[in-house]
Order: sequence, then structure tokens, then C-alpha cells
Amino acid sequence: MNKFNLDADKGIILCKAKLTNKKSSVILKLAVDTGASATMVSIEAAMAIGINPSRSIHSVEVSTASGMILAPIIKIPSFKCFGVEVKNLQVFCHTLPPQSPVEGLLGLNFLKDAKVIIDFSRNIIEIPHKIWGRSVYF
Amino acid sequence: MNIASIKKRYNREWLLIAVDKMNEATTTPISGKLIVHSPRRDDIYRKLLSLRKKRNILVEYSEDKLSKGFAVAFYMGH
Repeated sequence: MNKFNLDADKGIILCKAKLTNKKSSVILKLAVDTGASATMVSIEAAMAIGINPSRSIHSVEVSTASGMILAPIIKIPSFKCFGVEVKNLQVFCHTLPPQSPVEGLLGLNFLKDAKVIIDFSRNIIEIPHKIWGRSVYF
Repeated sequence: MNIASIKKRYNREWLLIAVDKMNEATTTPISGKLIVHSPRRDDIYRKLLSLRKKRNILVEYSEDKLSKGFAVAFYMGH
């Protein structure tokens, strides 16, 4: 079991995610969001690894705190967070306002499959031993 | 340079860092070289997209704690 400290006093639970496509990779700060059905990354992060969200043929209507948006869906060939790598994770692309301190959200499609346990009484996040090469869809 | 030191030095700024050491077991960047820093995120995105080699490039806001009086609410459902 991998354990990570969490500091809920920061007002937000943060994590790092590494997105890789071929030889390009970016590392982003995401907010762990158990209320988000899917993972979301910024449009610019997708473009930085050579994936153009505007070419996506799939999109989904998403309700956000500020209203409805139509967000393109893309597949990230390798998505790694908390030491768990998921192949071909489907994510929404949407750029949060610049006031946001994060580049996206780590949503339930990753959290469920990685079997993430958030334990506020001990201030830790626990991840079972690595689940490599899973494909996760929503 | 240690990532924590870079974040401390450029308080409340957006950073673009070429990571040279990473703990893959926890997906945690350890150290790297600062490429650009700015209070404006757009500057960071512009530089990120102009880089020819994009390997382990960290996009990071230097502050992890929310400012006093601020709260965030994310909700993404479909």
C-alpha cells in the first residue's frame, strides 16, 4: 500500500499527474475531486503533449459551477498519478480560470480504478499496490 | 534546483520547470531547471507550447495553500 500525506488545511487536496504521449510529457498539479465524475486537464496541457482537443470527435456536455460547457474528450496514452499508471485514460479538456491554483481535476474515473482511499482521520491517501496498464473509460 | 526552493523563491507565481529528477513511484518531481516564471498563467502556457522538446515539463503555481478568504468549488458531472 502506497501512502501519501494530505493536508486538508490547505483547503484543497493536491496531487501531481504526469501525462505522456510518445516522447512528450507534462506534469500538472491537479485537485483531487471526488465530486467530479471524470478527470479533467487543461487544453494547453493536452496540446503540449501533441494532442489537439479541437480535433476530438467526442465531446460531452459538462455542468460546472459556472454553467454548462461542451468539453472535448481525449485519450491520454499514459496518465500517471500517485505512482499508478493508467493507459488510455479518457479525460475532459477544459481550462480553469487563471485564478485557479490547479491545472485540472483528478476525478472518479481515475480514483475508482486506482482504488484510492482518502482517510481524513489519519490525513493520508492510500493507494493499493500498483495497477499497471489499465484502460479506464467513463 | 530543488522544486520546493524554486516555489519558495517565486512566491505566488506560475512556473515552468524542466524536471531532471522525479520520484516515479509517487509521481513527485524532485528537482529541475526553471524555464520561465510569471504571475500570469498565459505567459507560462505560451512558453510551454513553444518548447521544441517537451519531456517532464512541470507546470506549477508556486502557492499550494488557498489565500485567506478564498474558497474553490469544483464540480464536473455529465
